[in-house]
Amino acid sequence: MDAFHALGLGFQVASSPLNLLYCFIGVSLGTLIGILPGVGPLLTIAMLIPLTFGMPPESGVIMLAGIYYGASYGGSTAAILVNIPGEPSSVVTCIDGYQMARQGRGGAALAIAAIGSFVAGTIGTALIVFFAPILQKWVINFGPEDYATLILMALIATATLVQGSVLNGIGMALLGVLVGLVGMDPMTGASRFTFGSLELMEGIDFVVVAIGVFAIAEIVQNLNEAQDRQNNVAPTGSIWPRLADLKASWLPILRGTGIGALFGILPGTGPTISSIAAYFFERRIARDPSRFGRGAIEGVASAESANNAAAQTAFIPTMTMGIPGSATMAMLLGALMMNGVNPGPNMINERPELFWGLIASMWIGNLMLLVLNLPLIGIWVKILSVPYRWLFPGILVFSALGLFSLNLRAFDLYLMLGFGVAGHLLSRLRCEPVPFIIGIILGPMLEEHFRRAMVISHGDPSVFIKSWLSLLFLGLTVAIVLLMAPRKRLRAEAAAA
Amino acid sequence: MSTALRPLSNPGPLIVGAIFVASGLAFIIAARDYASGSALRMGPGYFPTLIASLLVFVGLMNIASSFRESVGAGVLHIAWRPLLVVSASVVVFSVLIVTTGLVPAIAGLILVSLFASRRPSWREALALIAVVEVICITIFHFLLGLQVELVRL
Repeated sequence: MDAFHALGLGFQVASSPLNLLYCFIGVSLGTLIGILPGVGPLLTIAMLIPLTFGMPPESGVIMLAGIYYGASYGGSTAAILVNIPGEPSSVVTCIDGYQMARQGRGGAALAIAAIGSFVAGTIGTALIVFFAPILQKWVINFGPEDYATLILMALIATATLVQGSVLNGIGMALLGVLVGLVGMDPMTGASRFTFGSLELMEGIDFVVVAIGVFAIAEIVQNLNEAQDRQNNVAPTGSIWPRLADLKASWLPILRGTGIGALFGILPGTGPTISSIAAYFFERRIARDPSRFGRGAIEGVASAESANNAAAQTAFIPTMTMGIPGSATMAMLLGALMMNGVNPGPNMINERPELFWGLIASMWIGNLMLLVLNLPLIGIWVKILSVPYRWLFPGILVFSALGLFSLNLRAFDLYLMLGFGVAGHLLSRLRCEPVPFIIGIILGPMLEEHFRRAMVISHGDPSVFIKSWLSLLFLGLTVAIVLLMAPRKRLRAEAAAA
Repeated sequence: MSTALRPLSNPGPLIVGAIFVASGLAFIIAARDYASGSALRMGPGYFPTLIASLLVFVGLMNIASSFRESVGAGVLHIAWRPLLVVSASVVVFSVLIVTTGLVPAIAGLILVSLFASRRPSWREALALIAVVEVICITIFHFLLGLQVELVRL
């Protein structure tokens, strides 16, 4: 099936009335939570995974993906109009976006952000259509030893690149792998680490951990910080950008898209890092860098294009190899696995309607966001005034009820609470939950391929260095750790000094 | 470099290291009950033991790093009040949903969660309960057909 036929199938799936509705719900909800500081896509996706249970997998993932990329649109709105990054990926949008808003040009900034995001989203979709099948054809010929070391590389890269020390990140990832192994061993049928508990036989549901660390621990953290602040909303002004704005923006949009697309594919780097990189790149090459920080539209254009492009291309490794490069991608993959989809290079062949439907829905969703966001700006701004103390009880109820609805047992809720409390305590020690979650998803896959490789090699571990691909992945893993560890230490020392 | 013992400037890596070592050892000990087999015919215990050993190693490196001259960012304070309130509200919900049904469980969770703020407002609480009950019952009871009684007496 060539890419154009495949994309045709995708649009057929994505434009069914039901899937259009789910896409619409996803992007609207995404915009909403993107605007709200303290409520992010991770939490929202964790909360809604139980609801996707029993839906066709493509509908569920279309909705969850909509939340993800919709959030980056919403994040820019809060950044420009109130100088609060609704999402971390909009941090640099605040710098020039809010200055523009103070000069009465908030509308133009919002429009350029939306147009930039749409262009980046469209190019991102095109890149997926082009690269995903190539990558998939390459990966599908991997031996188990290559695949095992590829998973290891992705896991370590993500663990190394998150905040905090490299050791903490790697430790959390290993801990995640171990927790992911709890339950029945798929190869021998023996139960592992269940301590006779029947509930643990099927393994620890991924969503239990996800809701624990992304809802419970997150709420505790937010309550700890002062949330009820007074937001000064800057006037929007005309939403029509001037011709000069478009002229100044089109190149930054394309450059931002390029930077974002590249960072999106790499593991451990996502929308946030790419928007920061794109912003500072734009400032460096500008003829007059002093304009940046005083309302330069190029800053908004490049940052917002970069984060959306990264949000799109992050799907390439996730969907073609079954290897998530970020926590959000791990959540989407986890949701698919719960709905009976096997992640990995076979996914495109086995479930073409799922993969291409998702891709097509992302383009449709971006179009919805472009049309939806600007006229509704007034409503979105009002949402900013909802205080957190009204939001979090609802989030708690929704999370707990959703989780309970899966197995109808209180055990899952206590387990979720346990992970939430542990997540909070570990975050106080500067151990991030993101590598832990990715470890849970990748752990069983890593074990499966590791064992397969060892069986084929008759128990000879040198198989991992005899295959040049596997050797390359191992080398890259070591290089990433050695490169990042000293840099991070320097940065931490500078911060402590 | 002073070789004399001095108080740790930052206990973070030491605590984290201890947690990693302890969890790794716990998994290794638990995995001893499962046949680990050989590298050729791996039993269910082989891979977990390997990963847990790596975790112990990472933990030891963490502990070692805590004795270096300068160590990065320090430990943050635990948010006791929100932690206790959120935990209590989830426990109340979990108990009530199996004993008394959906409606009291939702109300109970929200009532307890109010204590996250130092001056809970009862008017706000009632309004919040009403809104959340309507939304959740519509979605979970009517749309999704969740098999939990609304009120069990």
